[in-house]
Amino acid sequence: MVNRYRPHVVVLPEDTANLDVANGFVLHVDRDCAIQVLGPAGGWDKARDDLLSDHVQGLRRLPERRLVLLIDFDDDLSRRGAIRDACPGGVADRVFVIGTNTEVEELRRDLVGEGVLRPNTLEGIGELLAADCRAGTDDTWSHPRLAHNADEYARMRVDLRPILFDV
Amino acid sequence: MIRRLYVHNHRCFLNTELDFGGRSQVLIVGRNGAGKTSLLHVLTMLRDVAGGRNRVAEVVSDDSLTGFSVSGGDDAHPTQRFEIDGEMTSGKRAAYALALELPADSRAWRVLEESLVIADQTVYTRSLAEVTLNRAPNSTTSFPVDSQQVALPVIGAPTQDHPVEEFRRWLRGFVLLGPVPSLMGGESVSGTPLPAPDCHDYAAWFREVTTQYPATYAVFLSFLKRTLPDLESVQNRPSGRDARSLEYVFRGRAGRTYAISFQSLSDGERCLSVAAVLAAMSAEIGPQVCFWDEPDNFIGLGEVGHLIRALRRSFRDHGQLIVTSHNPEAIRAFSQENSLLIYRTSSSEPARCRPVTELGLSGDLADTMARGDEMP
Repeated sequence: MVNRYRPHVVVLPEDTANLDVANGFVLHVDRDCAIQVLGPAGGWDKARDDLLSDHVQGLRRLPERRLVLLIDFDDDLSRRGAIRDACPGGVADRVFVIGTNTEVEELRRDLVGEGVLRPNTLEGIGELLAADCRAGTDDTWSHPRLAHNADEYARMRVDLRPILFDV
Repeated sequence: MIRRLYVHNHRCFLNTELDFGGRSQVLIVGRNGAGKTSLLHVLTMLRDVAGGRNRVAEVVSDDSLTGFSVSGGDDAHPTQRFEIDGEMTSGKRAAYALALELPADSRAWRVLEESLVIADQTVYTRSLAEVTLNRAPNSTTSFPVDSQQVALPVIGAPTQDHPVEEFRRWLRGFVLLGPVPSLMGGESVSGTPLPAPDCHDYAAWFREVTTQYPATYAVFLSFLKRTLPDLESVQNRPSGRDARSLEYVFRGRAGRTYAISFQSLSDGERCLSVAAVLAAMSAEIGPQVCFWDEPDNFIGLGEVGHLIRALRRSFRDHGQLIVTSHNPEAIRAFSQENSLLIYRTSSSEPARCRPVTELGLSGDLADTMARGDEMP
C-alpha cells in the first residue's frame, strides 16, 4: 500500500485498455510502492466525475498525492481543459490529464506498424512511456498521437519523475 | 516456461488443454470448482515424478479419475493422460507425455505410454513395459521397466547436460505454491530448496535459500519492508541442535527493537513472506517457473494490487509466473492479454480454458466476473 503521507501517484484509467497501459508502466518504474493504479472508471466522463466526486477530497486532505487521469481524447482535446477547469484551486496543479488523441488501440496499431512495439501488447506501450520518463526523453511521448500531452509531460517530468524513478 | 499443458480424465479435466501461448506472466481466472487448484495438483504430480516418485500408485489413484462419464470412452478400462510442453532454462523445447491405464482385469494402474522429446528429437518412447531410448542418430536401445513404474525418474543420465537430466532438473525446479498459513511453521532442522505447495516447510525453504545464496536475504528483506516498513531484520536463531527458529525484528517507538516469532505473524504476513522468498529466488538464483494458486489469499485489499505487480516485476525479465485468482484487484493487476479463463458449464462437464481476449468481453473483467457474464 502506498504511504499516503509521502509523495505518491494515483492513476485513474478510463477503461481497460488504458488500465493495461498503466500496468505496463508500473512494471517499469523504480518505486512501485509510490504508485497505485485504480480500476477502470468506465469512460472519460466517468473518470472526470470520479475525480470531482471522490478524488478531489483526497487530494485536498493529502498534499503529497498526485492524480493522473489516463483517458482517450477521441479527437476532442478540449477534454483536458474541461477536466482541469473543473478542478478546484489548490488541487489542479496535482492533477494530470494524459492520453492518446484518439484511442489507445490506434496508438498500438501505429507503434506496431513502426516496428517500435515488441511485443505487441498494451502493456508494451506503458513500458515505452516509462522508459522515456526514466531517461527524460520523449521518443514515444512525441508520437503524433501523444504529442498533445507535451505540456502535461513536461509537468510530469518535473513533479512525478522524481517520485517514481531513481533520477 | 510452460507453453502447453494437456490433461485427460483426471479430476475435472477431460481432454483439457491449456495453451499459455508463450506468455511469461499468466493470470488464470475462473469460478470456484473450475479447476484452478486442480492445476496445482497436476503440476505437483509431474514435479514429483521428475523428483523421483516413480510408483504409479503414488502418482494417480481411482479417486483422481474424472468423476463424470467419459463420453465415447471405456469407463471399465480408463486411461489418464498428462502432457507438458515448454521451454527449458537453456531455451530448448521439451515435450513430455505420460499415459496411464487401469486394465479391465486389474485394480492397479500401469503406464500405457510415455515419451520425451527435446528440441524436436525423440529422447525416449515407452509402450507398456518397454522403453526405447535413442542414444545417437539411428541408434536405439530398448530395455524393460516395471509397468507400474514411470520411466522418467529412473532413466540413467551420464551427465548433467543429458537431455533427460536437463528436463528432470527443469521440471523439479518448478515453484508450486498454495500456502496454508495455519500450517506454516517457523522452525527448521534442515533446509529444502523448494517448499511443499502448502508451505508447511516455509522455514526450511527460507533457511536453504538464504544460506545457499546469501544475496537473497537483502532482496527478501527489501520486498517485505514494502509492506512492513518497521521490519528491521529477519533472524534464524539457533533453538537446538541443528534447529533454527525464525524471528522477525521490528523497530518500535524511540528506536527500540522487539522480536516476534514467525508463529506470531498474521496469515497475511506469512503469505507475504512466501512472496518475498520467491522474489529473492527470482532475483538472485535465476529463472524460475512459478505457479501460485491464489496469491491474494489472506492479503489485505489495499495490498493485493501491489503484491501482484511486485511479483510480476520479479518475473519481468526472466522465468514464468502463473497465478490463479478471483480477486478483482489481482485481476486488474494483470492485463486481459495475459489472462486465461478456465471454466465449466456445470459440475458434470469438463474444464475448458480460453484466452480472455477471445471471449469478446467489453469492460472490466473483474466486474464482468462479478456479474457472472464471463462464460463463453
